[in-house]
Amino acid sequence: MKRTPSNSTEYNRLNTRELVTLIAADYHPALKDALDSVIVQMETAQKVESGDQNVKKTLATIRLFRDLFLEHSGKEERLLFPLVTNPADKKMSGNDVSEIREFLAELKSEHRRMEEEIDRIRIYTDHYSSEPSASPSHKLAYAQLNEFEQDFNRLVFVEEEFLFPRLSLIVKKINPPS
Amino acid sequence: MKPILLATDYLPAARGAGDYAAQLAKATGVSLKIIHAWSPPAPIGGDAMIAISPISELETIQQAAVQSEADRLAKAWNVKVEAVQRMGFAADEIQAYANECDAEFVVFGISTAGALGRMFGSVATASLHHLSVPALIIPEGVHFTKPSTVLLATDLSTDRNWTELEELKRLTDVFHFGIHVINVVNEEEVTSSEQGRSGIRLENRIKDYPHTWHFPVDNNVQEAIAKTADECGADWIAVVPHHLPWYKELFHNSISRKMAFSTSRPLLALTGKTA
Repeated sequence: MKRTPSNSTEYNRLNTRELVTLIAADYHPALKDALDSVIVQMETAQKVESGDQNVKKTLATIRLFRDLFLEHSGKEERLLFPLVTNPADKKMSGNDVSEIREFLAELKSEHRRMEEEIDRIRIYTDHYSSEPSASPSHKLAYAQLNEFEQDFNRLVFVEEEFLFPRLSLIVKKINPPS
Repeated sequence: MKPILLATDYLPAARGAGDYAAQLAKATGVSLKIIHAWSPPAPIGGDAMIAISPISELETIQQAAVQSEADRLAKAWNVKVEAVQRMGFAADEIQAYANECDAEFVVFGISTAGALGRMFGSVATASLHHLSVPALIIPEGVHFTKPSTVLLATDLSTDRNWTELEELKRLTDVFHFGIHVINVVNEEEVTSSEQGRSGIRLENRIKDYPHTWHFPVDNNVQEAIAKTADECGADWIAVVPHHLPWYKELFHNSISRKMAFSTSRPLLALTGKTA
């Protein structure tokens, strides 16, 4: 992923709007592209190594992960991020605040679900290691998966350590506890 | 589940909707009621002498006609059907009877052919925005399959805090729907904070039901909905019609109304008034 701050200090320097923009304009598209690329490589690998059940299971799990990620990132970009990028004129009600917190909890549970799928992929790919006799597509796909996992973990870290806590603070600020 | 009410004018689309409704009633074990609403013929003034039957005679004729349709459906699908006829403005009479029999939803047929129907709307689409019970609109030619997947199309604007979802949840409890939610935006559109909050509320309301969100970017909303409906295998498309003043209704290009004329699937219009 390009434009990646390298440490927590740099993420802390970004305001919330910049953080949301970084995720929506950079991290999400990069991960979607990476998933598409991996799927293409894995489809080629499956054609060449049609008897390899792990390749088949890996491909199926990546496709499932892609669907989960597209839905998850769509929910963030369409439902959550507008709260930051297009703040409402109307004050949030107490109900709005608890709804947003509930939604953030839901997004976190979706992170956990996606992490489980990555764990599954790790098992099928034996931690992204391929035999010397594996096809070039197979080797490339596994290398891409390894990199993808790191980028995905970074995204989850940024969202859960920086963005979501700030969003919780924003809603608290708009509606300070009485 | 409460009774299903079929509104019929005996035209082919309505008869098809009747077949659909009867099979739906059979599949769910609920009763089917039919209403035919009619207006008395207007007397011609001046020197013309027209013999008009007394209202009571007209009612007898109308009752026989609607009973005939009820008998047809009962025989074809082995379901119990009750039939009534009411004199008056169709949308009002249908609403009144729906209240009276506490209908779960009202089934209408719609013909998708003919510009005239589109220009003036039909009873079905006129009722879309005014009924206080959900409307299930069956396009002509659509055959019954027991519904298992519903696609809820939303622009994320609702003024009822998603009470419409209570109707959808009740039906989901009966049919065990897989719920798909679609929000289409065009390329230029920016989602507002209010829409975001509305979407968050929607997500929280249905999170205990298996569901999937879809967010296509497409300048043609109807096409995007149809494409997603095909991809997810939706049996019904659910919409929340907007409530507008009558003068806006005349000219408003409501997506719900357009969907009613163009969809190849039953359209479930939720109201949020029966929660």
